[in-house]
Amino acid sequence: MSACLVAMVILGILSIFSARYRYWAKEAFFCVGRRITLRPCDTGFDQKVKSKVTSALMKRHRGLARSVHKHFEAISWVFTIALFVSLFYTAYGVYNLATFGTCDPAHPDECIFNPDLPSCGDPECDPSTHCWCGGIEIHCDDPLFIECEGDCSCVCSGGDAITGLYTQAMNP
Amino acid sequence: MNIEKIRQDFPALQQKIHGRPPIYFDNACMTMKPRPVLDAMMDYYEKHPSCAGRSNHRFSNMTEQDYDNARKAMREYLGAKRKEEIVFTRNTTEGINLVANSIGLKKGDNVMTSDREHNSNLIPWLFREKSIGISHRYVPPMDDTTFDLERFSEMMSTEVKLVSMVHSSNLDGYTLPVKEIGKIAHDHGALFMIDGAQAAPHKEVDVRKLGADFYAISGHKMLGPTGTGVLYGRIELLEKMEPFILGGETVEFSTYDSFKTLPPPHKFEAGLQDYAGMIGMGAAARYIMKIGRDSIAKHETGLNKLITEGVEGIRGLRILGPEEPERRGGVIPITIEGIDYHQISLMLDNNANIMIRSGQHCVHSWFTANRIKGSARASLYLYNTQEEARTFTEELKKIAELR
Repeated sequence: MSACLVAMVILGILSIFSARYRYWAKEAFFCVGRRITLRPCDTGFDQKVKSKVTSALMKRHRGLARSVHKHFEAISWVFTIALFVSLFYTAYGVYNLATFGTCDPAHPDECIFNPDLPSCGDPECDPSTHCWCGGIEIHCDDPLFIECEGDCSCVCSGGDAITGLYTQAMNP
Repeated sequence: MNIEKIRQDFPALQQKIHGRPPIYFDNACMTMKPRPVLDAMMDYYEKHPSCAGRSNHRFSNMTEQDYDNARKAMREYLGAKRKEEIVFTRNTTEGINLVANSIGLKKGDNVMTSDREHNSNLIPWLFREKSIGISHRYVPPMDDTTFDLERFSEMMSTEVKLVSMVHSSNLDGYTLPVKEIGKIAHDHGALFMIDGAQAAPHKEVDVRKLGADFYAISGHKMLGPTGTGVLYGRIELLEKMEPFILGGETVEFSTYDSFKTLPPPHKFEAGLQDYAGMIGMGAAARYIMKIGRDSIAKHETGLNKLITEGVEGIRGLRILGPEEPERRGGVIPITIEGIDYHQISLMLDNNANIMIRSGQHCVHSWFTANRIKGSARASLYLYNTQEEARTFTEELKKIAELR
């Protein structure tokens, strides 16, 4: 089941770009559909994935192949959980990006998708009048303004909280 | 038998997959096709793709002649007395169904089979049991899983209308004592049908010596094209039997309210036939007869012995069926404790292009009764080599190490 889930997501993404993966993506989708409706996956898709992985490893490292073969289900579940955690954070990041203009409001500098922010040396940036807090422009006369930093980011003591408060203040 | 020379005739075996040739060990399911078979079929399509029998033009006559030659080749292949005893079918399954529907089984009639029948020789009887009320019984095996002739003899009675048994089993290659079975069946007034799908491609078959009233085979398991087969039936029986499917080519004439069927085999061959296929099957029969089935059987048993010895000592590996390779023909059904049979098959394919079959091989009843989930089955044929057999055992060893 878990191998089918991982395969379905990965092959689903790959099949957007290449037709050669579509057949397998369909099979994985069918397999997941069967399993979540409490029916056995009768295409043998999970078996095919397991044998492909084990065979590839057998050519390189027998011991590793043996471990993977023995614990394939457990390893698949680890990958499945990792996949869903990663999918959750991706969705959260996309939501933040769309709502706040940065995928990580708490650490806007660490979001590579942030729009280019003006810097202090930039003539567009006027630290005395505004700065950026969590991707949102805060003016110096805003009650939440504390002070500007050198890179035009606000000193946001509460991170998300202050951004939230700010949004609330701006959109009561 | 010059294997290397024989292999040259098989285009599919000349391919390279990831730089290695394929090792085809799934011959109990389907065999590869040699050049003479492909040529015979192409010859029909390229030179005279027309109807046989119905028209009087040149092409039609050529088709009729080739079609008739194919029937003659199949007559010779099975040792039938007359070519009219050879009914062309799509496969063994259709042959058995034809008999099931045409010999006039009635409520209360009994049909006896062995315990190791392919679904093709089990489901038709179970269906007739439901639809018209016949009863189906099977002969329990001996402790070593082989056929219990004594028990069979005890179970026989005059109520048994038909004994229908597999000649060689597709699950482990075991060959039933069909000659003795036929004699006992006839002594009790029953008809005797043999499912010869796995035997006729690999060993000499003489339906008259075997005492078979019916003998069904498939073309695709004997180097022939898919969708081809033969039902041999004793002419006296075929003449009495009602057709299973009716329509074009099965009748001499018809009015708005009557018709007169043709004599066998034509009354059983309704509609336009697979001429190319049957011509191809005839070519396959000639190809095999030229090599000789005794040589083929000897070659397969030799390879089976090599593999059986090669896998000896592999921890957790078990070969189903009789221990002696000689009693398994060219079939090697294996299980490895702790490794799924589908995994064995998939990894052999991934690792070394070795193609085998995994599962219950359409003999679900036997696997269920014996509480075995399934097996990975290698099945050999005339084009397989000792080198392939050795590669197979080496790869099995590697897979068994995954336990």
